[in-house]
Amino acid sequence: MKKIKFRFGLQAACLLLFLPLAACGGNSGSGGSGGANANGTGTNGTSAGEVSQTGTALPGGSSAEAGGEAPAVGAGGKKKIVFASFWPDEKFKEAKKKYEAAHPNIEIELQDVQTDDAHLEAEIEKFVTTTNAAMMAGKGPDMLQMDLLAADSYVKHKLLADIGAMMDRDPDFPKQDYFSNILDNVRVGKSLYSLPLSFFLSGLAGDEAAIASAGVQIDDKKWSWDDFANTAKQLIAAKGPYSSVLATSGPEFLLADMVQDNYRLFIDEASGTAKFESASFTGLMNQVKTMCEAGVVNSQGIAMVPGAAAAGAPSANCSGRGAYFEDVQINSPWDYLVTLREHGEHVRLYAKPHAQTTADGGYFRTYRNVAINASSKVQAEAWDFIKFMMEDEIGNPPETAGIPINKKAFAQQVQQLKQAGTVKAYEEGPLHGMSFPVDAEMLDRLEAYVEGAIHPVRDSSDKVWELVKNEAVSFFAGQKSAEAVAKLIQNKVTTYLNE
Amino acid sequence: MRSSGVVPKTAATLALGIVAAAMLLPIALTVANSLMSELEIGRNYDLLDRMVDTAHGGADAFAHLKVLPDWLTFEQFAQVLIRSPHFLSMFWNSAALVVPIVAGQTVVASLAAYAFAKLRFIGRDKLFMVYLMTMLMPFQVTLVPNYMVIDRLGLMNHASAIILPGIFGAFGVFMLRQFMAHIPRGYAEAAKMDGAGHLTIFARIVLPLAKPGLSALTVLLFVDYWNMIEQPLIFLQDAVKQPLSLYLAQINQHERGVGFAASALYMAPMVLLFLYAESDFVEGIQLSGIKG
Amino acid sequence: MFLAPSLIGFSIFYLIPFLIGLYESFTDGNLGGVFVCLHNYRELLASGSFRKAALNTLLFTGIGVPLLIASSLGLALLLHRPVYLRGWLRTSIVMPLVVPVASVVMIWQIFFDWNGTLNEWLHHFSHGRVDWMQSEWSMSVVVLMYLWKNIGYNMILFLAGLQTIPKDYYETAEIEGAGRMRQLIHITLVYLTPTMVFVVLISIVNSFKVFRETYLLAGDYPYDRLYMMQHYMNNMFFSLDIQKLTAAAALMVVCIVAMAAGLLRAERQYRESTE
Repeated sequence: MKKIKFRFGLQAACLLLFLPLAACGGNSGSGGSGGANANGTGTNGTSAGEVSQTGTALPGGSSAEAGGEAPAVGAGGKKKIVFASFWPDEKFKEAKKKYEAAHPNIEIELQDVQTDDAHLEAEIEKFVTTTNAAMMAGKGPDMLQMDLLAADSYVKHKLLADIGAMMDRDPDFPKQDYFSNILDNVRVGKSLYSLPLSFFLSGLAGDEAAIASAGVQIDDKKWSWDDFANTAKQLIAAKGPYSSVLATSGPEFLLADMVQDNYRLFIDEASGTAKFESASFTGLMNQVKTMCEAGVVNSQGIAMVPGAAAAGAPSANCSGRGAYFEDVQINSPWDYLVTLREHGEHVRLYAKPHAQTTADGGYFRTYRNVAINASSKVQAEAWDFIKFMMEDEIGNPPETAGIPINKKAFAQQVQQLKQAGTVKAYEEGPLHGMSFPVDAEMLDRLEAYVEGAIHPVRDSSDKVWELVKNEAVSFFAGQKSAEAVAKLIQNKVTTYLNE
Repeated sequence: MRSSGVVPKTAATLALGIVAAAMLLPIALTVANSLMSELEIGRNYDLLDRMVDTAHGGADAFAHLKVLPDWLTFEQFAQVLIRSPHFLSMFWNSAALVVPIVAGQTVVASLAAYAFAKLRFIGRDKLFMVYLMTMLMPFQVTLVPNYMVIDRLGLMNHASAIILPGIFGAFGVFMLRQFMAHIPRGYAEAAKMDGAGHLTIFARIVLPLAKPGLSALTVLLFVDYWNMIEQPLIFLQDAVKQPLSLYLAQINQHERGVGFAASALYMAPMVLLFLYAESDFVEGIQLSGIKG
Repeated sequence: MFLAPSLIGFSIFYLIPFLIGLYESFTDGNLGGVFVCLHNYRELLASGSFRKAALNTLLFTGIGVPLLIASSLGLALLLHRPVYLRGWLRTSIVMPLVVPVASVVMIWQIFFDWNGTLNEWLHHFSHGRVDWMQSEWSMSVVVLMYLWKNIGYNMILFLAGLQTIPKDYYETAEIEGAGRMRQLIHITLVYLTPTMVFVVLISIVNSFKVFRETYLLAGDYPYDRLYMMQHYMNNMFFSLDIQKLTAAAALMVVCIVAMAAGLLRAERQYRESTE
């Protein structure tokens, strides 16, 4: 008897739950947060090509504002665009000033986070958490800098507006003025959600003279890691001035990169299975370790025990000296000259080898990525501001961090360097502020690399890369066996894939 | 009162003493480490979270657990208090959040608990179940809807975004209901016969009898809210408004020394509260006294 | 009415968000999406990682909670008897509650790191190292962390509960010749039932809170055995997968509520039997 009564109790509790639930559903529809509701059904089918219904003169603005709500109007009839970034950015501030001066009806509010090194990690986590929460609640800023945010997830959950569609629709947008190798390769399908205002080149600095003296031919426009391995063999056999071929940040980075390059060999995304507990993976681990020990790759990596580094002998954690190639990131035309010069006088840039399964071409890392919130009511205005920022790259000095997405701006920077004739390195850098002449021919070569970069570098938000890198450390330090580490990686990656 | 011999008393004391020592160890370590210089901390714990190459002596590389500092120094405290002035203001922020929550929840919850424990109304137990359910929810689940609610109420970035939900938390209701359920119905009925209303019964009989529960609640609520991290993280974006718990959550391994010192200061108010509440715990209310 | 103030605030800050959350678990896309019935739940149950998380959580709760309750009840009973230095002992045992997570994590790390103190001791006795957080030991480590942190919490509750048991019950029992054991079972445990119900549920709630320490020590993808519901939910949150997150939470709450209902029923029986 009591049991029956109790059952009834539970059912009543459920009913109690669902009655307000129905009411609530209505609530969140009408009151629940601005444009988010329109977004659910809206963006699904009409992500591209639909003209905004609010009657804004500018094209663009996907259907998120179809609800017909008035755009956010600030004080004095101004439209307000809230733009959030983690780092305070001088260039955004400058762009805001200029844009507001040219468009008196627009107000741009920049939000950023003040932090110091000690609190950086926590502040980033906080920024990501609050932004996620706000975005999922259908709020959040109108524009975001995506560099620290999980762009893929945002896209997957339709939180970002399709800038690509706005771009394609906008007759005033001079497509040919921008590096299409970059813009086309950051698209997701046909859409573009997170637009890089600038980018870095990821490549190798190589001692051209030493390579030439070893008599080894290189076609870095096409080479894959396999070709690189062959080159490495030849270089070692030639017994040139260097004992190593490649200097990397550490063997674990190399391993993680190699896994990335052979993603399909180790990971079957469709079935959610990983194959790290396999001879091919432990083989790869041992191969990297052997390469370290043989000195094919090394790192001037931090010596773990103070004093021990002086020993200098190539060892498992790859501390050795001198290599033909070293990983470099080129941040600007000016940086191109200085960074390479820092590595030596006869050093030139080479494209990074690519994975066997991908197209020929170099790597780039996007920087200052901007995106528009799908539930923003000022999407058209935001796009106009982005367009402005893309144009506004012109005139930035060649030292500016990030190669501009704007071809004219890039050409101008190169021209500026040529005219200046000399460049001066960082005071704090290894060259101690030395001035040296600009090599015009070398500068001309840069353009080919800039235009030939077609593979975006996956960043640390790539979980598999990170898991492999973190776990592999103990193997290369000789603390754990390859099998033990492979098992850990296998388990963690499997968990990740099946979430 | 049952009498106890000296032997079992000593044995019990010893057993408890061992447990207590284990419990105190991390606190002792925190305090001891807060008195070490950054240099010493660095030397002791530098190897944590690292893999030392076995070829470079990794097999014998260990961090050093040290209980007594080589030199006593208040450098870390100075660092916390003087060089990061916001520490003190965050301390007050914490107090300004926690005190109203604890006071408010105790009052609101004791009223509600009385209703759940002693009144009869339709759907009482079902409603109680609903309270329970929300209490069991992990915070990530309600985070986004909470964000919407707080935003709609215009409380975002305002202390009441933390305080109001705190006051209406289900924890106190649940806990006090359990304590009030202890109280035999006879007392209330006797009072009713004497013509007492619910308010009188609540204030004169139930509340005094639930006093052990109330003081336990105060302590636990204080601890819970003093330690809260997620809510202020999301709802108070302004760094100047944030409580101390966030300051500590942001300390990373690069400044262990400062972390220990900040922890030591952070613990102080709670330790004082415990010592104070101790008097309330000493002897419970003797129900028999009232009965007679 | 007594309930009104609580009910209003509670509805705004807890019930409504809870219901919105629940509603979301039946929709696709973010807020205001299309109703997809049980699709999210089906997907959830198909996820190997979710099942792993559920199993690990069940295991952890199954081991941790009874251990915690038994040990804290034991301590509370001991402390309820006459002992020397009672106040000091009581305060010491409660102390872990005040230690902030940041400090706790640093201290656990000193002990359980690969280069940590425990391994140093093992090394001293010529044993190999154990990667405490990345082996089958990890669950024991987390259980230990959980016990350490929460014994005091539960002890406070039990002590408060013990104090509401009228002393004359024991006196009567003693006169009737009941032994210690009988008194413990027939008086102490029976009269502690409401407290016990509360302690069990709070222990479960608190068992979710070790997540913070675990997360700081072992990251978002910890050792297989440590991967629990909180990890799953946290990762879902960071990948903005609110649907799976809320669905997972709803399933979890259903389980806990079923248990809570059982406990409350036991409690009701107790109340009816004592009145």
